[in-house]
Amino acid sequence: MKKKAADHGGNIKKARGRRLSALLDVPLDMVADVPRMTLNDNRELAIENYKSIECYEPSEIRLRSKDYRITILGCGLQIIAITDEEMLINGEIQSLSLC
Amino acid sequence: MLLTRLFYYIRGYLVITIAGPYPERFLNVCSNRHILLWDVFSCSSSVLKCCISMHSFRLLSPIARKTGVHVKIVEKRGFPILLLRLKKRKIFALGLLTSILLLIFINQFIWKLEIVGCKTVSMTYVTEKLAECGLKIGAFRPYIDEKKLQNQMLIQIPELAWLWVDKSGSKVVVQVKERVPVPEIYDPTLYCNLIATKDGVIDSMVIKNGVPMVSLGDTVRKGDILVSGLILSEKGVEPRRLQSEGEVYARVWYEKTKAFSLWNSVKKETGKKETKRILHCFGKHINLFRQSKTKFTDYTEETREYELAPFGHYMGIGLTTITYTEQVCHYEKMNAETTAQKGTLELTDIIDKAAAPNGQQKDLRTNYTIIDEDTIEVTVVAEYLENIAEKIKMT
Repeated sequence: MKKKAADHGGNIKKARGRRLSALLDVPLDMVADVPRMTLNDNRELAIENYKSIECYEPSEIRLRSKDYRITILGCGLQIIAITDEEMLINGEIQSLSLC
Repeated sequence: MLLTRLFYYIRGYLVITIAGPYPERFLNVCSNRHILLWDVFSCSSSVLKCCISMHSFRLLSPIARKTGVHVKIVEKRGFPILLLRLKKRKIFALGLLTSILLLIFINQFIWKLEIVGCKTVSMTYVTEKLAECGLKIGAFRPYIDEKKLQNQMLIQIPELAWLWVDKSGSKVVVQVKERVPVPEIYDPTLYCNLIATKDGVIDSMVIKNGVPMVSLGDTVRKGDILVSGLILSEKGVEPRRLQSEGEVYARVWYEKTKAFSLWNSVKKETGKKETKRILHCFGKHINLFRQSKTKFTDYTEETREYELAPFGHYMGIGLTTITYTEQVCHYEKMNAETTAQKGTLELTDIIDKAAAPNGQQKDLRTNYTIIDEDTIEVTVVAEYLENIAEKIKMT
């Protein structure tokens, strides 16, 4: 029950953030706490605002964000740097799914 | 990331392994507690390898206990670790320090001298004068006073207008600018005529001083007087002499004929290469090859120079590589038109050089005759409009 209420609150906050970003014409990550992913070619991926790591293997990295799971599949994946806000992944990235 | 790596290399860092049933949990807790981990590598599903700063490593034991993993130091890296190792190997450290001091001392001398900008003044002459002023290979760098050297050189070589000495490590680049030649001084007492320098037909004249001896449309020969500096009077007054001045433009024809072969040589690279290296070490040149001549008979040569110059500071060591590429010459027969075009270009170039520098080309006619099956004869006739007047002193 409590989790449902929290989810509902999070959705309202996210919706507000979207409306505000559309109104002010600024990127969504500036007004709402949403993940931001920057992919350079298929070799380098920078992820900001993630929550935690669920799985780390050379062929798969699974991360948890606020609303969904981020799954990166590829070959020779390596975490170059990890801080509380940002993660830098290197390797041959084959797919990136958000579910 | 490079700056972070460099920062932690200077401060020292550790390579650790994290072994346990769920090492990802350990990474999550570390990131939540603002502990930076880099180069995280998954060895297996239960073992991770990563780098961490020495300061942050102290904070890991409660996290390891909480997450149930075992943390082990694999390697210590960085500048403080290197210093610790050197402390143990005192002779090596002493040798390293001596080498660095020796290198600094050697770099206080000039090992390479470059002179840029010499056109009419000989490079050898400038090098000799620089040596007289104290700048030569092997000279002690701090003793070279650029200002004093500049002044001395400009006094010793009057042909130079400007000189700049640029020191970069053991290399000195001397840039020179030569003086512009002094223009001829106008002497009003020099009485002269204007004489034709070439055969031609007079097209136009601008006479500033003197009596014109020819008129428009006249054909003149080389050596004819165009404008006279002697004014004769019919009333018995003494003839007056003056300095003739003016420009006389004439149409001048140039004709060149040359035989050209229809067989054209085409050079192709065989792909075979030979490289010779010369090591430049503190003013000495060491050949790193046995035979000075290349084994190829027909070749192209490419020379490249490399210098050991960290941050633009020449260290007295350089390498020159000479690459010889073998070529093979093939002969291809061209048609008469193509050979005639090629020949016309060659003959036009020769005529251009023979014509006056400010002459204008008015007409160009070419024709060719076939001499035999392998040779043609190309004739080029060019018409130029140019100033043919030249001052010649009156006798």
